[in-house]
Amino acid sequence: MFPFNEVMDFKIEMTDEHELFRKSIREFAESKVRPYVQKVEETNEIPQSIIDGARELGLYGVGVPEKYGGQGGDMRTLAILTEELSRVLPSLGTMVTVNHLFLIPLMIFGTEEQKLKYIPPVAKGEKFAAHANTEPGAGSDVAGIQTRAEKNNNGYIINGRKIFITNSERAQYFILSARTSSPEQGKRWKGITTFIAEKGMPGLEIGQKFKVIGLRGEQPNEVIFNNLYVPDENIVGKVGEGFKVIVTTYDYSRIIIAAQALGIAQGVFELAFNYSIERKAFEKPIIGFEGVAFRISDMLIKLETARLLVYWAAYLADMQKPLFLMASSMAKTYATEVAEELSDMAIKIHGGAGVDSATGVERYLRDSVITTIYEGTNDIQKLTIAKTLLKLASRSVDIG
Amino acid sequence: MQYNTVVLIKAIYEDVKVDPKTLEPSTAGVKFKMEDISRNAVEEAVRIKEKHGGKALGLMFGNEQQSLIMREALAMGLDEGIIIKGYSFNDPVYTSQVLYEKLKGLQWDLVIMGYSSADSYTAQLAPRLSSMLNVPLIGNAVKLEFNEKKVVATKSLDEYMIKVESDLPAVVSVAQEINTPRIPPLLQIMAASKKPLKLEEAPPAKGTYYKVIEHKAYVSSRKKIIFEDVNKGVEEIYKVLKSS
Ligand SMILES: Cc1cc2nc3c(=O)[nH]c(=O)nc-3n(C[C@H](O)[C@H](O)[C@H](O)COP(=O)(O)OP(=O)(O)OC[C@H]3O[C@@H](n4cnc5c(N)ncnc54)[C@H](O)[C@@H]3O)c2cc1C
Repeated sequence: MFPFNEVMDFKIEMTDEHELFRKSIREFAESKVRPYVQKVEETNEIPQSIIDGARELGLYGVGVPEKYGGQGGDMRTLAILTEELSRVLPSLGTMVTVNHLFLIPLMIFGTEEQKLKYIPPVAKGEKFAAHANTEPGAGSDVAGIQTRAEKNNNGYIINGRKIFITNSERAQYFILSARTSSPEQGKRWKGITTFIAEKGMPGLEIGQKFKVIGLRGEQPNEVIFNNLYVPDENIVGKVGEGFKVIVTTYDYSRIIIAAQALGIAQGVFELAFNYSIERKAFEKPIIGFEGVAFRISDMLIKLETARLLVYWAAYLADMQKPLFLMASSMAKTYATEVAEELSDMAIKIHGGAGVDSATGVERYLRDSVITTIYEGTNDIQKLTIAKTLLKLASRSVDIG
Repeated sequence: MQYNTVVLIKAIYEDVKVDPKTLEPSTAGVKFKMEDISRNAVEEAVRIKEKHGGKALGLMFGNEQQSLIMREALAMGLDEGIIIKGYSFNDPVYTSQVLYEKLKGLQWDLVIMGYSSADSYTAQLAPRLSSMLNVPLIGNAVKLEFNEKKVVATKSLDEYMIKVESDLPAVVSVAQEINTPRIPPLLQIMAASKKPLKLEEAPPAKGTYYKVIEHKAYVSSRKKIIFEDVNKGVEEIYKVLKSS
């Protein structure tokens, strides 16, 4: 059974609360979001009514302990939230959950003062947060960042430029990565530090908006640090060990992206199946042709395999099993690839209607592509999987 | 002044499919959901509780498998729930007997329920219960207000609204227009799992009062006749109508 230990490793458990929560989100998404989907596509903006509705329903606090103003809930709950929102509007899945790229590092590495100060406003939906790591010269290669933080009295002066930063227009709080010392020989990851910055601090500027092909309504921006001064108390984790803060964040957050992809896959599967029974050609519903029927069956097989992986990874994370690290990379890779593939298949089943934006199918394909890239491209996930395998086999081979 | 309420909640099939051959409804594998107007009744009881205080209890004649529906009502804000097990099919006489037996032993100012249920529309439960419990009945309310020991209800009739006032305790049935039920947030869902939910046995039925003779989907079969000659139109249509 290598690399697993026992059959219990394959267990996924869901509770009544998970089901009731799923129903709540389904109802919210169908009644408060679905009617505006086309408008979001056209205006590239998520309406305020949806942002407020999500707040009223406590969605920004899902996965955050009550002690910090959250709604409670575990990784599976967060996955359900993301899946159900993304089934209807993937960019809303991003908007509601991207805060976790700020909350996760604070929960794991933050001081109690930082947690009490920064988590409750975000969990209550009063403030938004962003995560600024990627740079023009470094994405996958987190250790390659160029942003510099120089010691200055009781703080640091930060200079640099981040790109593709989601939510940065809305965000009040940022977690950012910067080099506080040069990389060590053979240990490039050393010398990076993570800081909290607030909008309004002199030297924190929001730059151009990127026009990415999907996730309309939630396009990322450039964030510029121009002699930004940040006090010592805003350091998250230890000085020089920010690399760990960043990659640990993605260990968890990629389950959210996997769930987003699952929502996309579910959304396009339903569209494709419904169309295949409604649309007639040659005097019968097109599902009556084997070519279409097999396509639908393949879609379902892949969809449900992805679902098992996503909730399995989330369950392992909830049970704090170390295996979750690998499981979350598997789930992220598979679910995002399935989302892309199923979106494409759904378009083909719709024929010409599939490429007409008014039908609402093609947007899922544009969104799904992004899920294969952000929070660790699928290539990077595969590296993680292979590295973990080697570790489990007690072998040392240099990969990546 | 506080008001204690008991809300009657029915569980119905979520999405009944019609068998295209027999035209009978097929419920195999179909999930249950909270009946639509029961949901409005739950919402109203929660609003009364939030505004005036008092306890709100959910009561269902149903089955254990429907506990999740009661949990949902608890997540919407009810304080506790009781499911009386043993519901097998729609029989308003037996259902009202079961609920009456339970209600007469409980403390309440108001029994709230949907005026009718979205699966059978017999609309019998409210009048039956009010007569068995010997308390006033207000049917089809679209607004409820309180005036000390009285409830003031607005009822909607097709052309106009009427306002009626009744002493408490009373039985009130509500219409769907009365409110928009809330969506329960995660925090309330988690809290609901800690609220009391009791399962009890129903007293045996004294007989069967309600027999379903046939249960079939409505079909409109079109004759698909096309009259092509406009000049002969009326005459031809008349002939066909006469002979059918
Ligand atoms: C819509 C959107 C929103 C985003 N939001 C944020 C955000 O909020 N915050 C943030 O910090 N970043 C964000 N990003 C950035 C995102 O995380 C990066 O784009 C991603 O990590 C990839 O980095 P890169 O673009 O620099 O690609 P690169 O790292 O340059 O990769 C280019 C290609 O090389 C491959 N590659 C690189 N290294 C290896 C290797 N070792 N082995 C095999 N293949 C490799 C990659 O898989 C990829 O195919 C966002 C991106 C998008 C598109």
